[in-house]
Amino acid sequence: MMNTQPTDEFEELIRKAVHESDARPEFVNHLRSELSRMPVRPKPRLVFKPAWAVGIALAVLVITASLPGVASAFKQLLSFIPGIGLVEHTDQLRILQTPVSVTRDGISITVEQVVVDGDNVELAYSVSGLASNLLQLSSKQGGQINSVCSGQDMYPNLLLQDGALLVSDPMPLGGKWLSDGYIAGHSFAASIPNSETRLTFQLECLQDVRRGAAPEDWSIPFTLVTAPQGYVVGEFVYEADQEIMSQSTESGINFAIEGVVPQEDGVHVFFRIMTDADPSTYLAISPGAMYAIDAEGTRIDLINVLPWSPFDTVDIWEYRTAILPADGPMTIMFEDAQIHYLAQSLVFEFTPGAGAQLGQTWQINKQFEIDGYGLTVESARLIELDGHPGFEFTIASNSPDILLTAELMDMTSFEMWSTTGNPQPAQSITTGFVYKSDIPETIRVTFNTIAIQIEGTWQTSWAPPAP
Amino acid sequence: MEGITTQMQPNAVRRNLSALANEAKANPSAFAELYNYYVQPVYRYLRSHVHTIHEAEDLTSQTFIAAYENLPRYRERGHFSAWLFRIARSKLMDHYRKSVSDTSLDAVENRAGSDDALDLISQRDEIKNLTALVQRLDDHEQDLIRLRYVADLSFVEIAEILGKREDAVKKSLYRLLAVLRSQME
Repeated sequence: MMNTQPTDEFEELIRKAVHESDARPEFVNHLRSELSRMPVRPKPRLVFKPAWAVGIALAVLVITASLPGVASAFKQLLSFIPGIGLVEHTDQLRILQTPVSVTRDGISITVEQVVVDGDNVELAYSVSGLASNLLQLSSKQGGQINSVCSGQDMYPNLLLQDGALLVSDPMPLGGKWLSDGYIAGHSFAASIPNSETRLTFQLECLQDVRRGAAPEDWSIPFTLVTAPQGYVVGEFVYEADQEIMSQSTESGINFAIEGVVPQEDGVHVFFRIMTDADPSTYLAISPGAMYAIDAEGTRIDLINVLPWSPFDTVDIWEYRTAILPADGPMTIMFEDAQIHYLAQSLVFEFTPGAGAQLGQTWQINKQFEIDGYGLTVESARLIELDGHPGFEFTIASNSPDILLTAELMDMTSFEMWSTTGNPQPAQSITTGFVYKSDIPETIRVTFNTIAIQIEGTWQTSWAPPAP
Repeated sequence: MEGITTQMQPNAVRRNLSALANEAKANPSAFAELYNYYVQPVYRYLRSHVHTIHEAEDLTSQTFIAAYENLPRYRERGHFSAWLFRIARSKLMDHYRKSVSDTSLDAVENRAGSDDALDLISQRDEIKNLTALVQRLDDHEQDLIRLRYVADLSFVEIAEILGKREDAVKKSLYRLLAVLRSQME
C-alpha cells in the first residue's frame, strides 16, 4: 500500500503556497471593541434599539439595553434621529450646528446629523442626485466587484482639527436606498475633545458606484455645538406604556408594541413577537401581512424598515406605515406569523448513482422534527437551472394545518446556490439547490433554515399620549 | 486581550476552548478569549476565498457577531472551532449567493491569482508552481487545503465541519498532497 503521508518539508511548502496574511490589527481591535459592547445575553426585557441595528454591532451612544430605570425616564432620555436611531440626552451631548451640503457634478452629499457623546460619535449623511447608470454593472454588462465602491472605501472618516483621522466602525448603523441616492448612519468609537468643534467629513467614494464614474474623495467641514439643555434632537419616542398599549395573545404568540415614532415618511412602530417557547430554540418570529387601521378607519400597510434574512436573530422589529395615518389612535394588526429556526442539525444524504438523468426522481422519505413540528423529505429530483445541475426536494409538513418553508444547502460545496421553488409557506413545498458544475457522488443535504407558519390574526391598539 | 496566537494547539487545548464557549454564554469575557484565539484563522480562511481585504473583514465581522449572538444555541457536542467555521462557511455562501448576480463566477475563482501573498513569494519558483497547482484543484480539494493549512485546523475539526470521518479527511488530504507532489516532480 502506498504511503501517502507527506513530509514535514512538503507540508511547509503547501503552507507557504496557500499563505494568507493576518487581519489588520486595527480591524481586529475594532471588531473586538464592537463585540465587547454588544448586549450580554440573555438580553433584559427592556432592550430597545433601532430595528435596523438588530443583528449588527451597534455602537451605542445610547442604547440603553441595560440602563436602569429607563422605562420611567424614557421620554426624557431618548429621541429618535433618522439615520441613527434612538439617542440618549446627556449633559455632554454635542450635535451638528446645521446640516452641511456639498454638490459636485449634480451629486450632493449632506451631513444630516452628528451626535457626539463622551466616547462615541454617530453620524448620518445622505446622498442625492445619483443616476442609476453610475451604479454597479451586472455581470452581463461585464461588472467586476473590484471596480465598484464597496467595503471600507464607502464608509466615511472624520478628520479632526489636530490632524487625527477617525475611521468609522466596521459595521454601519444602517441606511436605506432612496430614488436617487441613499442615507447611511455610521458610528465612530472615539472620544472627541471639547476643544474640537470643527470636523471634516471625508468619504472616498459613493456606495455601489463604479469607481471613477462619479466624484470621489469628498470632504465636508462641519461644526459641532453643545446641545442646549432639554434640546430635542429628533422626534420623541412614544413609550410603550401598558396603560395605553395592549398585548395581543393568540395561539401562544404574543405581540407587543414597544415604541411608536412619528416620522416624515410614516409612523415607525417598534414591536416584539414572542412565544412561550424557549427563545434559544428559534431565531425570530416574523409577521405576515401587517397593517394599521388609523383613526379615520383607513387601512394602511406597514413596511419592514430593515433588510432582514432568516439567518438573523431579531428581538425587536421596526415597521413603518406606508403613508402618514390620520392623527389619533391606531389599531395595529398582522396576519399569520412565521417562526424561523436555524436547522443545520437536520442533515440527510443520498446517492444518485451513475447515469442520473435530468428529471429523474429519488424517493427519500426521511422524517425530521424541529421544535415539535414534524416534516418529511419525500423525494429528490434532478434539475437544471441556467445550465447548473442540482436537486429539487419535495418536503411536506406532517400536519395539514402546519405550513412551512425551508432553505436547503449542500454545505460541503462552496459553489452551490439554494433555489426556492415556492417561497410562500405551504403544506408541501419544493426547494433545493444547484451546483456550479458536476454534482457530487454523495449528496449531503443540510437544512439551513426552516420557517413554520402559524395562522391567525393579532392586533393591538395604540394612542398618542395626551398633549 | 492581546497576544493572539495562531499556532496549532494540542487537541486538549481546543477541547478547553469548547468548554470556554459554554462559559461564554454567561460570561462575555470568555468570548473575548475565543475571539482572540480564532479571529486570525477565521479571517485568513475567509480571505483565501474572497477578492478583497474589505470583503474578508466584513465576513469576519459577520461571523463573530453571529457566533456571539447565537452562542446560547451552541452545545458542547464537538469542537467550538467547527461550529465557528460552519458559521463562517455559511456567511461565505450567503456572500456568494448575494454576489452571484453581480459578480462573474470566474472572477471569484480566479481571485487567488491576484493575491498579494503571491507577490511576496514570487521569487520562489517551487512555491509559485505549487500555488498554481493548488489553484487548478477543484473547490472541495482547495477548501480542504485551506481548512488545514490556512485555518490551521486539526483533522478532527475539519471532519466535524465537513461532516466526514476523521480518517477519511486525513486520507483525502494526504492523497491530494501526494498528487501535488508528483505533479511537481
